[in-house]
Amino acid sequence: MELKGHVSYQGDGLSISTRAMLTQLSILNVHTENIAHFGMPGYQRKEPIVTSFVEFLGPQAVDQVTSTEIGRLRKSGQPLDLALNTKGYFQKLNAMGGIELTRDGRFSIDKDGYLRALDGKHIASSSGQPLQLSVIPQDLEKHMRVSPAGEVQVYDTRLGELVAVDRIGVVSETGSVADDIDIKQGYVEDSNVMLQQEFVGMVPLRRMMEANRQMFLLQSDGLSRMIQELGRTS
Amino acid sequence: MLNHIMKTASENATKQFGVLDKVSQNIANLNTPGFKAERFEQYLRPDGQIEGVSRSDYAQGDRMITRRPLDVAVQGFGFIPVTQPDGTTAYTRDGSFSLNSEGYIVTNRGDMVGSGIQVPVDYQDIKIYEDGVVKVKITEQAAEQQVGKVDLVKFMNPEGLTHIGYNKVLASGDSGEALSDGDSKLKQGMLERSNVNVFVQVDQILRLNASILSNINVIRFADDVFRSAVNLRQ
Repeated sequence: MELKGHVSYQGDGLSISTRAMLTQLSILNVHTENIAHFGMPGYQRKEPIVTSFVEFLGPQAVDQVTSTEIGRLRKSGQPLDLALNTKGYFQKLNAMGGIELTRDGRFSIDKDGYLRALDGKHIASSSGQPLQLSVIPQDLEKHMRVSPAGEVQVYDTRLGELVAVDRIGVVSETGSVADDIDIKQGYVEDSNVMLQQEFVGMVPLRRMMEANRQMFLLQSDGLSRMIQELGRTS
Repeated sequence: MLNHIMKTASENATKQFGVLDKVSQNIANLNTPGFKAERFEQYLRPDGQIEGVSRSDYAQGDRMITRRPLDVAVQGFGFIPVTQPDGTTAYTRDGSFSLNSEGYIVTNRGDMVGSGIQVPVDYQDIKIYEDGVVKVKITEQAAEQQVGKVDLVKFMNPEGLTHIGYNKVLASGDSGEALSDGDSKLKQGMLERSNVNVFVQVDQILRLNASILSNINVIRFADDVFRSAVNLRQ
């Protein structure tokens, strides 16, 4: 607002306040997403990041980064549940020939011996091909082993011993082969979301909303008083 | 934005309630012979939507001795074929059988075991052998005579079987054809208990509770923000 013989109003103050409130909503959205996916094994928490020039960019200045922290490992006892105890991702092969990365290691074996993710997509072996077991073990608990390095072994009834079939391909987030991995069979990796952390993160949002609302009110009141009183002569 | 946040939170709370349904189903069947625990696993689609699949845990349940001659427990991964009233074949692992008015061995639901095994009315003793052969003695001194055989079957991928309720399953394209099972054995005078692990179920209830409550909290939070946004000028 300027007063130099004439009233020149620049809407910046009010719009900065409303933009700031919208920015808080964007951040709240990230927290909601995390809370909604709390129960998803292998889900990685998103962290809201506010970049520079937020006063002009508003919600556009909110970015998210994925936290690569390893979630809690929970024992499930299911022989086809694999958890990655190191950073890295399993690879799912989709119908288009593309690769999707996931840390969700709850797999199943179909009747042809292919290892599949929950959504039915093939799991890639270290050679990039769909991983297929030559023998389908009836008793998965006793007759199938996945070593920490990702080597899949099944019990061959004719030989009477465990034979190595293939290796599960694990890659880093850039797509290069991850070595030095630690796969735990019979475990599920829970999401790395911590509910208390999310709710604590939401507390300042509410305060910021309130503060910006007060700023908006102050400016709005000031503006209306100015309009009503400035032209008065008596 | 606020609408989106509220929608995400309420949809997720509803989905978690759906999972609670499966958990209570498992707990309700804690004492159903031959019942296999179901797990409802949720995963994230690439577009961020939550999808769920039901998976069965075909691990062997404990056996309990009943000394009833028409109780059998399946040891191994086999299934007992039963003929339903409409003539189709279903499969079960619940071996608490009885005789119907015509002397056929039937399940609790009245389905005939195998393709129909008729037992003479005046039998003295009935024996079901490990390989499924059913023999009866008419009098104490008479020789045993074979009246039928329960042919156990197995599937390459039992997880693909279709559940039709009443502890019965049907073969499907995913499970593969029913194959003759030479490894599984029938144990007379015993029942297989359900393999539901009550501690696992309780653990899941606690987890779901946390998830539902936090989603409801998010709704409340968004509601507060909504209210202050609507009453921005007061």
